[in-house]
Amino acid sequence: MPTVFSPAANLVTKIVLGGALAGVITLAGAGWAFPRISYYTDVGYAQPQPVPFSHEHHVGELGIDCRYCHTSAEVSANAGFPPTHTCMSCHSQIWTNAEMLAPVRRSLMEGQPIRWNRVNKLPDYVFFNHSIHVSKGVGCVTCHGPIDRMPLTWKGASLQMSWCLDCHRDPAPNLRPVEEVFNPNWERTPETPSGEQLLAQYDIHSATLSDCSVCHR
Amino acid sequence: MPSMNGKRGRELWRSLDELAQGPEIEAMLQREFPGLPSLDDVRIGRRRFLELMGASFALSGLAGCGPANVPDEAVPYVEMPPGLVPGVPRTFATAVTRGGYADGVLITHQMGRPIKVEGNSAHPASLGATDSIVQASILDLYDPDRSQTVLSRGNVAGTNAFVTALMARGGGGGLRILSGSVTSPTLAAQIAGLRQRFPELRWHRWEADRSDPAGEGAVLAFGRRVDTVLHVQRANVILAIESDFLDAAPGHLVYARDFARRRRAAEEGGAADMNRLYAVESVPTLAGARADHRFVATPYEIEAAVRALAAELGVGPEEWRAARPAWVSAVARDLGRNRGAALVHAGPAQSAAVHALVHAINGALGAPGSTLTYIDPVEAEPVNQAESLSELVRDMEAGKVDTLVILGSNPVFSAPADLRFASALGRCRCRCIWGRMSMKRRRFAPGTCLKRMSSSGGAMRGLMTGR
Repeated sequence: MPTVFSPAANLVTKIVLGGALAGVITLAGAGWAFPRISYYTDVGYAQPQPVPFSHEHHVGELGIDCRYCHTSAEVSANAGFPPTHTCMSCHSQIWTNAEMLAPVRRSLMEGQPIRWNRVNKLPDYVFFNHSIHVSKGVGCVTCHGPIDRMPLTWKGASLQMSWCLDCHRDPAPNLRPVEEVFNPNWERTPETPSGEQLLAQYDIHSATLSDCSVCHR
Repeated sequence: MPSMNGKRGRELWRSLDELAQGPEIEAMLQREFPGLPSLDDVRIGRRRFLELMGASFALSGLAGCGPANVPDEAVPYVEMPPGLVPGVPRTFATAVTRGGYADGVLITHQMGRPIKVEGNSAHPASLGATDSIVQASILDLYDPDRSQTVLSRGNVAGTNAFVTALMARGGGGGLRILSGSVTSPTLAAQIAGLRQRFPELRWHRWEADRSDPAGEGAVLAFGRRVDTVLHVQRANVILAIESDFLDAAPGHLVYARDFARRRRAAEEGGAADMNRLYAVESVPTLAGARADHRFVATPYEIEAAVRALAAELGVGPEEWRAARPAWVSAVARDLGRNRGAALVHAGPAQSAAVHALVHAINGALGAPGSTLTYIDPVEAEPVNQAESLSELVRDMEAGKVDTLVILGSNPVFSAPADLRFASALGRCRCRCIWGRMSMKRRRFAPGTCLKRMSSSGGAMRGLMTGR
C-alpha cells in the first residue's frame, strides 16, 4: 500500500503547527500590548490646534499661574477653558500683530469662540470632578505631565481606568502639600510631610476610593 | 369542516384566521381594530420587505466607516458672563404662564443650557411645587421652532424694521391685536398706550386654555366679573363639580398643598381636622381621584344635580328638587352642617348657569370671607373670548382687517376648526406674530408681512410706545 503522506509532510506539519502557535502568541501579545502603546493611548501626542499655544512659554518661561486661564480648576468639575477675552487681556498689548494670533483676534472681533481640540477626554460615564483632586493635593503635573515644558500641549497620561485605579488604590505617593498643587517644579524635600501624613491631613479614605460608585454613578 | 373537503396542499388554509375568514369575522375585525389595514391593501410583499430589511442591516454597518479618533472640541466663551463658573449649575427665577396665569419657577442651567425646571419656594403661587405642564415646559426651550430673531417673510430683519413697517401702515380701524388672556399690568398698560395713539385699534382675545362660562356665571350672579380665590385650608367639606382646583385652576399648586395639609391631619394626630371632598364629574379629574365620594354624572345631570343642591340649601325653587339624585340630599346636609367652613367649586367646562348657582350656593353656605374671597378679575379687560375671536374672523372675512398683530398665541392651531381662522387670516394684508415660536411650520399661510419676533420684549416695548 502506497504511503499517503511523503516524508516532507512531517516538516510541513511542524511548520503549520508552529506557525499557528506563534500566531496565537503574537495575537495575544499584541492584544496585551496595543492598549499600552502611545499610538493607542495618545500619551505624548499633541493635537493640532487653531492657535499653537505654548504652555512652555506661558507657564515655564513667564510663570503665569494655571488658574489665570483655567479659572474653575479649584471649584468646579471642569478646570475651564479661557474665554477669548482672557487671551486678549495681554495680547491686546503685546504681539498685537502676530500672524499666529490672528484666530484669537478674529474670535474677539466676530464674537465666535475659538474651537480648541481636546487633549484630555473622559467618557461620559465617568463622573470626574477636577476640584476635589486639586483640593486634596494632587498636583497639576501629576496627571497632565510636565506642562511647563510642553511647546504644544500633549497628553500627559493615558486616562485609562487602570491608570485611575493605580492612584485611587494607593494615593499617598501622588499627594503634595495643597499650596504646591499648581507648582510644576515642586519636588519632595526632607521637610515635606510624608504621603501617609498627607492622607490623614486631607481625610482621604483609601479603602473606599476604588468603589465603583466613586467614579461611575 | 366542510370547507376542507376534497382539497389538498396549497388549496388548504395556511392559518386559522384564513380558514375562519368570513364576512362576519371581517366585520368584527373592522369593529375591533378600525385602523387595521386589510392584507389585500398591503403594497409591499414579503420578499420586498425582506430585501429592504436586509439592505437596512447591511447599511447599518456603514456606521463603522466614520473617521476614527476625531478630536473632541472644547469651545470656550468669547466673553464669559460675569460670575459664571464653567461646570457649576446656576439658577434663575422666572415664571411659566398657563392661560395667562403665572407659576413662579426656578430654572437650573449649565452654562446657559437649561437642565431642570422646579417650583420657586419663594413664589406665593408655587411654594416650591410645579405640575406636569410646568415640568415639561423645559422642552419649549429646546424647541427647534423657537424664535431666534425677528424674521420678515422668512428673512432675518431688525426689530426696528418691524416697528417701522407697522408704523408705516398706520392705525385706523384696520389695526387689530389678538392676544391670549393678559394678566400682565405692564402689557395691558402698553396696549392702552397704543390705543391712545390709534384710537380705533381693536383688541381681541383668544386663549385655548380659558373658561368663558366662569366669567358669564359671575356676571349672572353679581352683575360683574369676579375671580375667586379659594382658601382650601379653611374648608372642612368641599364639593368639586368637575373641578380643576387641584390640577389646573389658577393657584392650583397652593390649593393642592392646602388640601393635602388638611388630608394629613389624621396622621398628625388631629383626625377631627381632616377635610372631606365630594366630587361630581363626567370626565375624570384629579379632584375626583382624591375624593372621598365620587359621583359620576353626564354634563346634563351635573347641572340638574347642582340645581337640586341649590334648592336643598334654600337658594332655588322647590321644583328643582324633584329629579335629584339620591346623593344630593346627603351632600347638602353635610355642607349645611359646615356653614362657614364649606366650599363648592365648579370647573371651567361647566355652564354659566352652574357657575352662577355655585356662587349662590357658596353665598348660602357663608363661604365668602371664610373659605373663598372674591377679587376683581386678574385678567386685564376680560371679554368673552369665543365671541371676541369669532368677531375678529368675521371682520377678517369682510376685509375690514388690514393689520393683525398676534401676541404670544397660535390661533391657527388652537381656534375652533369651524371658524376657518387660517383662511380668514389670508385676507389680512399684514400679519405680525409676536411669540416664542416660529409659526412657519405650523400651517401659517405665507403673508405679505409675516414676522417672527424674539421674546426679548424690546420690540414689544418699541411697538407699544410707538418708538
